[in-house]
Amino acid sequence: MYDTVVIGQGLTGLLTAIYANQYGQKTALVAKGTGKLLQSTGVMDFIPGKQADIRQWAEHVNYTVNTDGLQSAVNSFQFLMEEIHLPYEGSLSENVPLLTGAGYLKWTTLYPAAMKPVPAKGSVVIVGFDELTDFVPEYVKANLALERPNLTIHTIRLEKKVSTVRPVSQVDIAYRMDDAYERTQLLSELKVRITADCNDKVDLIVFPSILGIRQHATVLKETESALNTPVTEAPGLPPNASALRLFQGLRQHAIRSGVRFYENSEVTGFDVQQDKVFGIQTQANGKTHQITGKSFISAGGHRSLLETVEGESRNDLKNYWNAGVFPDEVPLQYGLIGGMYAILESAHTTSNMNRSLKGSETSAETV
Amino acid sequence: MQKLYDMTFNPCLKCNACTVQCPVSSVTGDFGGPKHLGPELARFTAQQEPVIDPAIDLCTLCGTCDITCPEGVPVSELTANLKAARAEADGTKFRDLVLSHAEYVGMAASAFAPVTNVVMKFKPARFVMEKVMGMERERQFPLYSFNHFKKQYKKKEATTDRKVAYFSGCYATYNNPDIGVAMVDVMRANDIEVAMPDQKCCGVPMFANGRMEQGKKNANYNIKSLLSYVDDGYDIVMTCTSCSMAVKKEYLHYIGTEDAERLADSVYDADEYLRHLDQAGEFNRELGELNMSAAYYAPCHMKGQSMGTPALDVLEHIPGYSMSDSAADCCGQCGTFGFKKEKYSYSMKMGRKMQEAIEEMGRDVTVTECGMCKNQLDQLTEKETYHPMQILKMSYEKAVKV
Repeated sequence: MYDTVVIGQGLTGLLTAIYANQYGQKTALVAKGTGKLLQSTGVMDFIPGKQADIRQWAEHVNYTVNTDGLQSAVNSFQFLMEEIHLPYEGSLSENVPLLTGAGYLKWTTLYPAAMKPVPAKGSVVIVGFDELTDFVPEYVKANLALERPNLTIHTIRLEKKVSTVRPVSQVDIAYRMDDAYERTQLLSELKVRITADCNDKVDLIVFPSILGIRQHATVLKETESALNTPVTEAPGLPPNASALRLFQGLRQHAIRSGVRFYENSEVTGFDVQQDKVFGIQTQANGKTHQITGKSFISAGGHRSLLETVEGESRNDLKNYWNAGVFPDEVPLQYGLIGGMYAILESAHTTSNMNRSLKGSETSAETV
Repeated sequence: MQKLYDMTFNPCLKCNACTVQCPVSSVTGDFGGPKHLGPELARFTAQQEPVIDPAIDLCTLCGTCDITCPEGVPVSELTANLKAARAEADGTKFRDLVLSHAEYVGMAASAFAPVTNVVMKFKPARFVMEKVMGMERERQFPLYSFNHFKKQYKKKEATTDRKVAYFSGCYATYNNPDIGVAMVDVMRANDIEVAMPDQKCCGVPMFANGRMEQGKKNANYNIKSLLSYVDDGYDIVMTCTSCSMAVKKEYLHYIGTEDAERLADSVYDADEYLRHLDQAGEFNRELGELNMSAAYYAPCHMKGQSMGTPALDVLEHIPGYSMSDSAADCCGQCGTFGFKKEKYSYSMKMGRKMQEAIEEMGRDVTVTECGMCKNQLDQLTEKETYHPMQILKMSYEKAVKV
């Protein structure tokens, strides 16, 4: 029925489905829920939550790194992100320090344009919101001062903007920032406050992750031009607008370009005959569905889904690939494979699949 | 009701993924959101008296939380429990009683259709409806058809190899019988005769308005009537994705008998059924050319059926016709929700996002299965909205003429 069936809706699954579709494959994405993406910050690490470069990562995962392959995967990702108006900065050659919502530095490889490296000296302003209890500007300041002793740090708290019947999250404020009127009000108030409270030239303004959702590109541009200063988001406890934008952006792009989404679908069986997979069974609302396809890619986490479901390991299958699977002995932080590995594996697996479909290495296109 | 040792909320990490994707939560802070009113409240009140938060009225049961949760929590089952408890404790309004009986309203309104349609557009009448009933006066209502589908099509049995029993639902029956006619014609083009079993409203408007007992009565009636067709070798086909979701999901949840399960296994959305035929090599691909581009709008109740997007899979066989999914979120009409005065502003905020998505697509027409989504699309967008069966019918008719 479909040329390629991708299982999983995390970062690996979404990217894999988009790339497979770009290769001209009629693609379906099958998922029980969404992956860990919405629980993340949307920045791309080699090892989640740890400072690591390619070399340290290769050692950690016992992986032979093909730098050219990795560079080409990064290029594909950055190209795609430009296309969906959510550009990602950074490169493989260096890690940069971003600020977290707790005020600590986090070194990472690729990051959205809404975030900027924290300078070693100069002056920064940390902007908080009274109702946003997960982001406390004074706390961020105290921790940042330990990491960056030569930085002058100001804090500003804005009075309550958003009322909810539950605790306010960063995303609640981000949705308000999408509204042109509310945004203009907030920015003009902030401009007055910064001029009054900071007597030096400010180099960077730090916000929690609130710089819009659907209108993010406009929000970022207008914020920087209204305040006449570079701004950055310091993501923290989920939900982070930075993660939501990435998830919604990739998902919308996949759906609009023709990937068929089978949601609320738990994969419960693989129809394997000899060395080929012919279909999968999914369970939804107590009903079993069959989805057939020519190729299958499992992007369902750090284990092979076929192995988990069928209880046996198969290396001889001609049309089944795992994207984003580590050998069991590799220790994983919080069960997460990490953004960089997702970027590499999605490009790598779809390219391998394309090569095997075309029957020769030389005819493979680049994504 | 929540069972004593129901611990389905336990895997909830409180990550808020459901809340940020919730169409209502993303436009207002007045709703606690699926996490707060689902797993969090259930965990808080486990094994004690439930706490009924009236804000649960803003839950539309669209099910986006279920398809979002990264941890596999059946969030909407928990919010549905709370909605039911709220209805039981506080009763429902007369207005909700009327809205929940979409079928009786349909029968009555169709009987006087030319009058009804005029009156519903008449400002003083809308003013009275708002004051007396709490129905929003700015809301456009669907038209009613005097020559409704049950009058037009009375065939009780089919004689072809494959036989379809059609559950038309209130919308195709009383508001837009053209959908029913198109469905019958499309099946005929595939050498399949269609029978109309006795049927009552699927019950979705009742479940949504806290009329659980009436909803269950209708469900049991439909299970009995439709299963007698299943036993005679019919496949049950529906054109409304809320009706098909009711049978595939709600009947299992609220009725849960073996019969309910057996029926759920024999029910297809019309496009799902045609895709099924196509996979079996039985779909008539002699389709005529349609020079038309369409934006597809996927109803929430379609997405919740775990069947992909069969309308896209089937309609892509039409030569000259192109259709892409607009990837829009909930339209905000949400069945009866968008008619209510106190919910209208939320409905419109949600609707604007859908409107933006449809405008971004820039296509000739919009296609959706859901009559209520169409109501919102008609009010907020400039484009004509069709059911997939109407598009297929147009294509088959062109093929015959050539």
